[in-house]
Amino acid sequence: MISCYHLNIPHPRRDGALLDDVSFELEQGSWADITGESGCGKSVLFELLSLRLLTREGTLIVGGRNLDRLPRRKLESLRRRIGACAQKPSLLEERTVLENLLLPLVARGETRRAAQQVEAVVEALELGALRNMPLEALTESERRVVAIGRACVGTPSMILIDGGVEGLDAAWKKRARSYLRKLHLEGATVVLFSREAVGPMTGRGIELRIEDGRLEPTERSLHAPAPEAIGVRR
Amino acid sequence: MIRPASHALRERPYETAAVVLLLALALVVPGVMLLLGARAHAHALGWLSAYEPVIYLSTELGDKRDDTAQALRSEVEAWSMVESARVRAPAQALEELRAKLGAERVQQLGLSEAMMPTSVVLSPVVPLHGHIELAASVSGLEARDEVSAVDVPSADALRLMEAARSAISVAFVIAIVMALVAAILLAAFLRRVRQLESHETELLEMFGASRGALRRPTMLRGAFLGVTSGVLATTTLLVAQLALSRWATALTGVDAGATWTWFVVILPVVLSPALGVLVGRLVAQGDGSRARSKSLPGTRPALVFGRSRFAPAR
Repeated sequence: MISCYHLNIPHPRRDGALLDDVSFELEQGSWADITGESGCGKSVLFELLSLRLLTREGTLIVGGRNLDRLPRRKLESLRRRIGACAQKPSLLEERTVLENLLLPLVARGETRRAAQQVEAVVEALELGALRNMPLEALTESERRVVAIGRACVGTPSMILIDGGVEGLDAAWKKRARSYLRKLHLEGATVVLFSREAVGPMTGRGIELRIEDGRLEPTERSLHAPAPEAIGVRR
Repeated sequence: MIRPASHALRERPYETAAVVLLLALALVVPGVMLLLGARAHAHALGWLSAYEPVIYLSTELGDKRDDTAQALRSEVEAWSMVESARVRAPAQALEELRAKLGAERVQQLGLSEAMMPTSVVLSPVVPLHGHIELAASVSGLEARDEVSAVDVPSADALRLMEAARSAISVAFVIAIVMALVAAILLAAFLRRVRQLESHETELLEMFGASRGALRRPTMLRGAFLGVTSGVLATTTLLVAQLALSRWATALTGVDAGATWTWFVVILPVVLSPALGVLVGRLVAQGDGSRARSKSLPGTRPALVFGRSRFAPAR
């Protein structure tokens, strides 16, 4: 699903690299926790994988497509397969929760079963009581859950969550985590970028840590069973 | 967009109505000028085209009258500008007057055959408006003893035709200027509406909406505003055309009109939507190119309308 080779991103504020010769592979249906301290480059990696930025140095293959050679139209089509939630998600403040959840389906032109797909997310994340409320009336936790729900609507083949489920109230965190696990079990590739890993260390799970620009599998991940499902190359 | 493209216009009814009215006005003002100019030109042209110069012989010629008339006819018929010339006897002149004014009116005026002069009527090779030196040559005959008067078109008709021609030219220039002003106004309005939903556009792009889909609402809005103002302008011009036709006929007694003026009436309904779509596309395209900004070192932006959070603030 994702192959990344020799990715180099210079640090924007000081000498040295933000991401230094990063290479890794994630197969379709895998779960990855990409962890690291604040400012280590997780969000830049998130932006690259969610196709908001393109790299100048290194090769990134997403969904079998080499982004270096991908025309803009194909890039748009690939973006439709990705559900992404940024660390500080951009939401339509004056619109209702339902309208915000509908947005990815409108972008993908999947309006036929849109209501059904949005309802599935509302039900899974227990957002029923908030469905017709404008986003500006919600708490930070609720807004973040809506943003996570928006990334999951329409069951995209790859779900990227920058900031993971950090900062959510306990109840919301539990619901968001269990919904992401459910989608993972249904075959979606889930990648969380957070300070701490939250994913299941199952056969298809991996934890990668960014430190000093290098991306390494953690000890915990190296001892997880069935590593053949995930390739991590350095 | 989550909501239909027309929703943004419905949310701003007064602004939308003002833009439609101004667009329609930009089409109607030069349109009415063109119609007026064309009708005045057509009337002047029609009148001059039907005009036949007449040379009236003196009644003092007595018996020589017929011979003099024939000699004069032969003379003027030899002119290259004259296709044919005929001698009009007093009886024939009275008959033509009766046909024009009515027998009753002629009787009321107390006109008789004896009072009618013998005249020579000329048919120009081309209508007078194209051969104005014929009018000058005929006017010169008035100096002769045997000629009592000549009938040539007044300078007013020629001046009217020149004025109408100028009005048409000015109307074309005004039409171009006003179309440009209308396009700028429409672009400003569409850009304003688009800026208000730029956040939604950016989000839609992040989730994979195509550039065409993101531009479509602005183009649809341009088309809608264009169609509405075009229909309004065409309706107004149609009313103006019919009114002008009625008034001109009542004033001049001639129903002269140029066929091409119907093209002027129909043009707004075709031109205005096309202008709306074009301006909409340019506005949407311009916004997209402006959004492309510098990015983080080692990367390049992948979004056209939106931007990465690592891009410098716009």
